[in-house]
Amino acid sequence: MSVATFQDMILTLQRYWADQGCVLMQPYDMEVGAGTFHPATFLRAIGPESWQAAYVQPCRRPTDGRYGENPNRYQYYYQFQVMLKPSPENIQALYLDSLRHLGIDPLVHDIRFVEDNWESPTLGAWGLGWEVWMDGMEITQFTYFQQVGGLECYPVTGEITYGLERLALYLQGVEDFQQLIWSKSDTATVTYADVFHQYEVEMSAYNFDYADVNALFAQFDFCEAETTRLLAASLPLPAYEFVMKASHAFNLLDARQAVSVTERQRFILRVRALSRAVAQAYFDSRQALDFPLADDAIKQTLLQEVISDS
Amino acid sequence: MIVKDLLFELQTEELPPKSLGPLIKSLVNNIDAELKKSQFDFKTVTSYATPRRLAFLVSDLAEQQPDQSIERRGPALQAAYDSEGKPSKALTGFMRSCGLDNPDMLEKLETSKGTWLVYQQHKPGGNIRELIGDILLKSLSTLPIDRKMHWGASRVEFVRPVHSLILLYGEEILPARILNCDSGRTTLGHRFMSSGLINIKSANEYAEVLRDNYVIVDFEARKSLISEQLAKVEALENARVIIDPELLDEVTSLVEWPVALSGKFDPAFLSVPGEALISAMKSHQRYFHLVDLQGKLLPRFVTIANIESKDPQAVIAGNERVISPRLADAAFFYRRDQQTTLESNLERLGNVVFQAKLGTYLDKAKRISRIAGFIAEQIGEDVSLAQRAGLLCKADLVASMVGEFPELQGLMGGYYAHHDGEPEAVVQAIKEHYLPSFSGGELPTSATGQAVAIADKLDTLTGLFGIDQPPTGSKDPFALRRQTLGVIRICIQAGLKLDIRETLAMAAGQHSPDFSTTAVYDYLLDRLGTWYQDQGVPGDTFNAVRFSHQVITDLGDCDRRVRSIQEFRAQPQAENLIAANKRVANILKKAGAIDASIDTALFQSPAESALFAALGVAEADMQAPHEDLEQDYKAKCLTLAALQSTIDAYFDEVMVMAEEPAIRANRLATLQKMRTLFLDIADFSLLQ
Repeated sequence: MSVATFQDMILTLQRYWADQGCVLMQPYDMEVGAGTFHPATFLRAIGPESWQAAYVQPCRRPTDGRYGENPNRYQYYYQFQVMLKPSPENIQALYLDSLRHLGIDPLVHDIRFVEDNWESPTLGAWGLGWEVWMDGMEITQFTYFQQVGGLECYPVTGEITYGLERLALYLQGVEDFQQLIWSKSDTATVTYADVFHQYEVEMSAYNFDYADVNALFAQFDFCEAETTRLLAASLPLPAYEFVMKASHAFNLLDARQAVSVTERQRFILRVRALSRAVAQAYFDSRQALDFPLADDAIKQTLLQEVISDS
Repeated sequence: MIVKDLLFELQTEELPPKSLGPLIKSLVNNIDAELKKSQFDFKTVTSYATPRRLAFLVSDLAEQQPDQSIERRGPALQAAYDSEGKPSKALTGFMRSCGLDNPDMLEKLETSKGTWLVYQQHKPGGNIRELIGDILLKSLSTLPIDRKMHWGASRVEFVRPVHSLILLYGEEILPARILNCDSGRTTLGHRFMSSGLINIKSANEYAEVLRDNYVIVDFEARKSLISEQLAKVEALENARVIIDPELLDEVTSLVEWPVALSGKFDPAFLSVPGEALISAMKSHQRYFHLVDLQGKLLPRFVTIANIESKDPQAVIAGNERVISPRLADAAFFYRRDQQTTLESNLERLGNVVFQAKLGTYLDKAKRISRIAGFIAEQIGEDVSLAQRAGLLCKADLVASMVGEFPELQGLMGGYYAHHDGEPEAVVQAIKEHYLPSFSGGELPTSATGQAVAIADKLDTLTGLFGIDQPPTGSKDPFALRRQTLGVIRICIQAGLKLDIRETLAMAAGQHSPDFSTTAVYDYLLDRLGTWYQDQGVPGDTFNAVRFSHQVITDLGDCDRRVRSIQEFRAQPQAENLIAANKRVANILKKAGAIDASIDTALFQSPAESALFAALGVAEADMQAPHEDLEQDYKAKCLTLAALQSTIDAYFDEVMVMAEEPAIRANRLATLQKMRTLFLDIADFSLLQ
């Protein structure tokens, strides 16, 4: 195997996608449930502007906590996110090439694109695509965005999301996240467990048992009000940060089973309403700038066909 | 006439496996229909479908449509020319529509109503080269696609992005542009085992060339290959592979070059209920599971890979590594669920809405509990067990395992009830209360299970009818049809002595005193009629029972009557007796209300006395209780059949509508008695 450690894997993917013309971004410094929430994907997928980016994004999914006991399910883990807009004709081939760069031989492994459509009710977004299986394990989520924040996507963004830990299990031939080699030098070997195990155990306890429910409800209300206030001031980017915060508060409440089924739906609708408002405000703000990163023909098609149709 | 094979292939990114079958079927049907409509002669259409292509081959497709001759009728001769002999507006308009400038091209048609100008239009048959594009577009435009998608910066839409189009007529490329692809002769083989573009020289070599490139394009051939491979695994492992046909179809839709590989998992996971392990393997991984020759789950699985790997062991090891966390998750859910009792889940059930107007699942559970108790009492079973099972039967809906695998509802409840130390009858009832889960499916076997199963279904049924949301032709979100049929089958096949009308009323009353059961009861009887028809019992047999004097309350009793009538109809006396019943029904209907009693002194003929005597004997027979319920109605039908010759003789000799009113009334009263005797079982006059 050419890629020996977790950090080498990240470096390899960054190098590969940088060579394909992607802007290498850094993780967004807020709690998010998926790399899609990063403004470099969610907001950039809106409108006619071209955009290619790649970045690592730590993700928090409080309900997925297993106190570090499940070999491959954690409440905190890493995604490597690539977004290509418009999605290129050869996007699948580009992706498969990235696997070869990681040292995966597709003539040995059973690599398949298995239908898995994506929908984020809170982001008002959906897309069609696949999960990519390697020997039965989902290693990547592959999606053609069709709608984001309630707006039809034109041109379409192709999103590639690698589950870094799962991929690393294969590359390193181990069974459990804990055994993954994070880094290795002549003098020291540091494992994933060394870096994260205690964190995973404590955060599972926090998510399931200790998160303060009343404070989280209040926080949610505050974030909602703040989003609305910031949108009124035509500040879609800060407004979006409060949507992310609201969404995370909701996820924690969900992990605490503090939200009943009927209420749950109401909360989702509240976040969605915010996402949609932010998406429209962001679109308007870019339109005011005449979509500086857009290809002209695409911009014209959007304005003349897509918007008038919808 | 020139005929050649036509090949079409749309090469796409991976298509959704569950849509592949419907897509290709619809495409081939459309093509078949469009070619026939446009009168292009051909032999067969063969379909090909893989995850990355939709294709078909039309064999011996004619190059030309036949020529056509169309007669178009124009204006009447009278109206064709004006007084000066110049062509009228009607004529010039008609000629324009035919593309003519000289009226000499028109012929005259003599009819009884006058003479008309007609144009014998000769339309030469079109060429496939010109018409195929349109035929394909029409065929593709109505495919069953749930959600179409866009990709890149293109405005076309399809199931998944499309990469290339082959359109070959024999060896010739037919020009066409579909979904932004220009037709050609190249495609791709297997994603990894083949490389570069593949040239298809001639339409009929497609399947073979693709096979050389590790793609089996024929869906059915791929499916049988997988079945063969699974059979080999069985032989090798001395075990049975359980093949769910739906899973087999799905897996066939996921591979172009199937290779079965078998793996193992840690036997320690077998402490988790087998159904949960199977769900984890099937729904998440599309694995087939194995059982030993006694039917016990083995810690093994078979996966169908899409590659002849250079190192199959690596693929197996990878799959084994995946299933372990999946099963670990199932074990995690199982342990976590067992930390709370079903009873303590009830509170959270109060947060789960069953139906907006019918309350939460907690409300439903309480209602089921009461209805199940009521049923248990009627059928002579333990009331408190039925109430307990009814109360707990929905409590697993908030369990993590059921959240992850909804298909395990009920089943997991049973496991958890056992863990909680609930009585065995309660455990069993919770487990089987969703049965039958499909039409013709297995029924609950325990009495408590039957009571809860019926209670659950009647609660849903009376509730939805109560809020005026009965099933319609296309919409039946609560599967009321299936549930009603379930109630019918349980009552009849388990031989429950249950007054269904009373039970419906009791169930409706749990929702609201205002909920009527008239419509539900009729609906149930309609379903019962359909059920009989499905078994080959004609509708009139059931209607004869349904509209007899004896209102249907006990479905088992109704069933015995229906079966007896069905047997009776095969008797030689049936035809005459049915005719006699129709005749009597008509006479009585015309006569209106009859209140006279029978006075033997008014009899005028021996046939009257004979009928009266025979009716008396029959009546005594009919009222005598029969020990064997199965035989009861059959015996009664025999009694009635025995009346045939006496009744026939009566009608031969007696004129019912006698002049003398007293005699007439006496005769009508006799007929009334006879009719009542029959009506207690069924309305024989409704039989055809």
